[in-house]
Amino acid sequence: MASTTTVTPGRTVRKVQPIPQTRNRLELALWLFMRYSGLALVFLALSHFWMQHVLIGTHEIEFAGTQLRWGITGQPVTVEQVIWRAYYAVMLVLAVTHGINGVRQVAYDYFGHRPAIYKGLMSVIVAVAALISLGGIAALFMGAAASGGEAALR
Amino acid sequence: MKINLKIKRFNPETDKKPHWETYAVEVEPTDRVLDALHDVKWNQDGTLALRRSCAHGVCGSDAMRINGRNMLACKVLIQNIAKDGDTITVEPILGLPVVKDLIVDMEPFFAHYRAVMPYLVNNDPLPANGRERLQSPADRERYDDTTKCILCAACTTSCPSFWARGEYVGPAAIVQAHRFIFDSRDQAAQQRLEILSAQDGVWRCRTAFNCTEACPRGIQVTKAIGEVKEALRTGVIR
Repeated sequence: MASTTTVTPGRTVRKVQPIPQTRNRLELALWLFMRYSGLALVFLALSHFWMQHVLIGTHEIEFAGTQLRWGITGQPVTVEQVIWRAYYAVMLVLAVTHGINGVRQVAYDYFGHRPAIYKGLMSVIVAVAALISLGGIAALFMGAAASGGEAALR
Repeated sequence: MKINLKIKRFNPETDKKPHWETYAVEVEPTDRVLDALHDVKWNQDGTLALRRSCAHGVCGSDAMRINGRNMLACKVLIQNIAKDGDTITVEPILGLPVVKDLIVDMEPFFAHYRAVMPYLVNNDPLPANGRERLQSPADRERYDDTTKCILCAACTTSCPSFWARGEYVGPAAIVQAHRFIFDSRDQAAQQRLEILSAQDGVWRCRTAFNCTEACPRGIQVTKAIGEVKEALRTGVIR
């Protein structure tokens, strides 16, 4: 018996509606963020490594060099130093947020079924990350010495 | 040749926790691990409990962890994993409750399977000639790989995300969802994608590729999961 149904050759393309649940859209956004920030961090971290260990040299790394790039606390900031601070700002912000979201995923894996422990753990992680970030924030706005880096080296 | 089968045993009526027992078995190099297990059960220790049905890699009953990797005992030749005198370790697949010896409770696995609506949904009237809903060879080819799944659970129970969190829907359920999401005749892709976009859906996949390595049917599991993520991102099923 001959079929009367015709089939269009090739592959059908269909569209679906965007995910309605805000929570699930956030998970998608964070998943994408991990991809893009991870890719950016490969270049940022490698370029920083290359600058410190190849251009400057492993045995030549000193606080004075860092201060030259970041600017000296209390003195006017040059355009070059603003660019350097922007470079480090992008790297540090991406590293901290990428790291925290990574830890969030692992914490959810193991403690997602125990909300009290999961939330407590995340609060501690975010608080520690915020505390560590303070040094970076101080350096970004006030120069390298403001982070306490010089004092730490003494 | 002679091998030692080191099997993880657990009897819920007498044991508090699992323990290992080793059995010396005389095998042909071309025998399968299942043949060696049969030798133990039929000739040495009848209390050994294991699942197997077709014994030819189709039913998916005898997935187990052999030398640390998930495989079907009926598909692995002894000569491919051991030499004369070697020891082969056999234990139940991880991440599911052990019922006895090599038998696990598959219910959590099947609950995830049911959750993704693993059946064709099409509310259009039947074709006028009363026959099947046709699709082009290209449309049929699109989901061919994920039709091969035999629900053995080798992929899901090799996944580190699933070990850590049993609520994760798991690779096998995503493969089953993929099989219908990418079927041009199906009309429930929207619902399936919404289910898989939840926190315990596809986002728990970290592309470890254990599932792809474990699949005894050679399904590109991680790729299928990636395609579902891509459909969620773009809203386009192509």
